[in-house]
Amino acid sequence: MKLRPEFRGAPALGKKKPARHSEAMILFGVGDVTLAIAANAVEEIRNADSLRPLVQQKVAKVRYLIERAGKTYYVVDAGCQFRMLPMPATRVLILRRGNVALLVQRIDLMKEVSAIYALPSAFHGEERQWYRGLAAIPGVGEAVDVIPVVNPDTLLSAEEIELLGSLPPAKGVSA
Amino acid sequence: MTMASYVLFPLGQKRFALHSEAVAELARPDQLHAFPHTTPLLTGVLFRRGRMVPVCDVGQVLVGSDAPARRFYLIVQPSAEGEGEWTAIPVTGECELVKSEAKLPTGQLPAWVIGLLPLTELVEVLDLQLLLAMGMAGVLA
Repeated sequence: MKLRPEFRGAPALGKKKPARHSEAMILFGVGDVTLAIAANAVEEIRNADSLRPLVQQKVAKVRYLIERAGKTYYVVDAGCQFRMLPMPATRVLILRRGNVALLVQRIDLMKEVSAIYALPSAFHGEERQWYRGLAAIPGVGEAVDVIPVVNPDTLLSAEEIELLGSLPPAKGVSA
Repeated sequence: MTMASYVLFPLGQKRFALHSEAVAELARPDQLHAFPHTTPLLTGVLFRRGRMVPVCDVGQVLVGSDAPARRFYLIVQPSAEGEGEWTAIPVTGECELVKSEAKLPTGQLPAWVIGLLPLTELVEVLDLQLLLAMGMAGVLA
């Protein structure tokens, strides 16, 4: 007997409900991938002109510092953080909490997101730390774009921040 | 073993079987949403019926990396009541529902083969949860 597609009804049991509250997200890109970060986690978006290279590199994903209002931020390369191929980055998201910034390739847009789903438990690698969940964003027609929402608190661990703090001052030249 | 219902699905030149209770639906090709991650075998998620369904390409384990392109998704569930997390398995063609009596596996078969259906060929019945657990844990990599 040939089965028709969707031959059995979807049971309602076990369906995980998404968190339903509207939240402004900044959508940014690294290569072909679009990621999101809560807008209220971002203090400022700058271009990458004012990056200062680190003299020594002890954390592979941090090659630059950036200064803002007398405070120094460690700049995490998003491509490196998410295990992607190296690519030129042009924008820096300076985060509100801690002294962390995120170097990305492009800023796409800002969007209100009303549904963030838990990352399915089948994903059990580092992505469980990387992401808060998956945003389902209505696209064209009935299409839905699924975009991972970055957890800004896990870009650098306490150990990495401590290690970076022990480095000599950065070079004074711009990147 | 007694007579039971199985869903047969093709992966390349081979067919495999699952207990029909494990299958929620057969989905047409859908938009795969891929994003960076580090879990073996997972290729992304489908967004179906308000659920994020992880896609696990077990074809890499069952028939190797040179299997033909997968055309459909078999959506499987861990319990007959539909509880727990669904998983989408990419398959290469349409599926069939059969009633058959599985024989106990013989010889050097992987642990996830829990039976053999004597059809036109011997079709392996899979313990998909075990296969997924071993595959995604990287045990088979």
